[in-house]
Amino acid sequence: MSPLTQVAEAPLLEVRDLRWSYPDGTAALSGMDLGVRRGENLGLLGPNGCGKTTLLRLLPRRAKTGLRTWLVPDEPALRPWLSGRENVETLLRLHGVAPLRARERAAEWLAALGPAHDFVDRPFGVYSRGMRRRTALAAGFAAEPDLLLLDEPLSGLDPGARDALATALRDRRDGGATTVFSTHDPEYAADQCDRTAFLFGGVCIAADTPDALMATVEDGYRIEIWFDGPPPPTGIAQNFPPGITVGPDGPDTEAGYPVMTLVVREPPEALPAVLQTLFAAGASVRSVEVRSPTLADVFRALAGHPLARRRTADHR
Amino acid sequence: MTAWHLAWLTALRRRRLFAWNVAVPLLLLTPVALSPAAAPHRVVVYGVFLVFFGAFGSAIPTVRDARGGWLEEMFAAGLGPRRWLLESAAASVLIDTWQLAPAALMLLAATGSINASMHVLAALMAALLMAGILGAAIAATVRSLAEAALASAAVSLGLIHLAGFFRPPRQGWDTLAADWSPYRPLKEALTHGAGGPAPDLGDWLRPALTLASVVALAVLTANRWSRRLRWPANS
Repeated sequence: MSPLTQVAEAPLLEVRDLRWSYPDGTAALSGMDLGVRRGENLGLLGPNGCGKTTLLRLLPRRAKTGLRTWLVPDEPALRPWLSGRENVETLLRLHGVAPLRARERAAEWLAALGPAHDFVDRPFGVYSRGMRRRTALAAGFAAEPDLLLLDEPLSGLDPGARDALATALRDRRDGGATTVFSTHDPEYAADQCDRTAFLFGGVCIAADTPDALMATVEDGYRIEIWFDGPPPPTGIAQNFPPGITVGPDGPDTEAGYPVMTLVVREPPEALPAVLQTLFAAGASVRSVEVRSPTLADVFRALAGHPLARRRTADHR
Repeated sequence: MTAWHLAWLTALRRRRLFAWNVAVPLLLLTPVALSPAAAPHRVVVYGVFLVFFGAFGSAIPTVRDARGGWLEEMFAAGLGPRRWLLESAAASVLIDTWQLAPAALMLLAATGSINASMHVLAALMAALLMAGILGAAIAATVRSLAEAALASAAVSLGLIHLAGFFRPPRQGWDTLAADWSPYRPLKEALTHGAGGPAPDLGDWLRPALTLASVVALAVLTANRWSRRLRWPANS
């Protein structure tokens, strides 16, 4: 198991060397190692076809007996001829929730996450994609499982619903429950996840906190400096403190203003020295923006990782 | 909430479909029942329609629920495949009987025999149970609704033939197959309903044993074959 995928405490659920292939022999999971900690929000990131959905669908079957799991699939399997409310209540009752309790929980979570109130009692079949997603999410949260698995929960959600989902995810974690979700939105994952796992070609090649992952990105910090007048010559970089270089494209013009991008290896503690050098050279600085590495940078960096490249090639 | 409840909830909630499932058999079979066609011909039409109704009505919704993830949802909720099969099949038999009974009893218009109607209803329920189990098993072997319909039709026609619907059984294995066929009571009951001789209920013991064996085998092996109805299919 990769050190990055190790789980310090006893995991709620762990898979080792998990493999699965489609009937035609195409590998979806090629030896997945992943641990899920109790009470965490774990995000799964990776390119299309890397095995996120397959992993989410297989995880419940690898759960210990007694661990209550609930998967909200990418395409919610709800009955089109029942209303959103009836669908949620039916699913809860299927999972053993008493009728009265099912009604209460359905009402509570449909109000928090579900479609607009006037749609709740209309047939599910007339719902938009986003409303279907919200209904399925409401059912998942209302079930209060030990482990909630969400496949692409942001797909089709409007900003308000994304915020509501974020609140629900935080509340679940604060209550000690565990959620694993896949997403293609690195920013959302960075904000909502305690840990993020990167999947490539059916294996997990990195899993850690977003901060720790972002710290692994080389040349991750960038300083963008806009000038009012002409930009300083590229050669001025020789006067900057060590470890700071001008971006690969050199000075550029953006929105009518000259801009220089600096790549720094360490957090931008050297910014004052950079500005001093520029002022000394007579540059007129209009504004400065410091950009930290993001999970998107981690994704790009890992996509160039030899393991990721090899696995992706195997996968094909 | 169980598969039994879900089947009834679905059937009663889809009122238009329910009414359609009562009306279509009536519209198709009433002219046959009232026609001057010979009794054996009316019995064949009735038999094929009723068995197809049961087999299609089981296989197609099962494929749809499997592909849509609904079965996965039920199994994930802790409903065992055996319980799912038994409850779904039992609910389907009652719902299908409710929908088919008016059309089936039209055949008895000529005789008006209470005795014959009891035979027809009992044999219809047995045939629907057989067709329902068969449809669920077929659903686990196909990949689409069209394949489910085709396989259900092909297998059902074979079994209907073995039951002696299309011609009297000849000597040898043909007779043996008819004696043990679970669809044979339906043929004899429909024949009685169409004005033929009353069936000897003692002869229904062997078909009943076959039916019980098929149900027991399907239930005992449900954990194995129902895996194909889950997602991912071969995990």
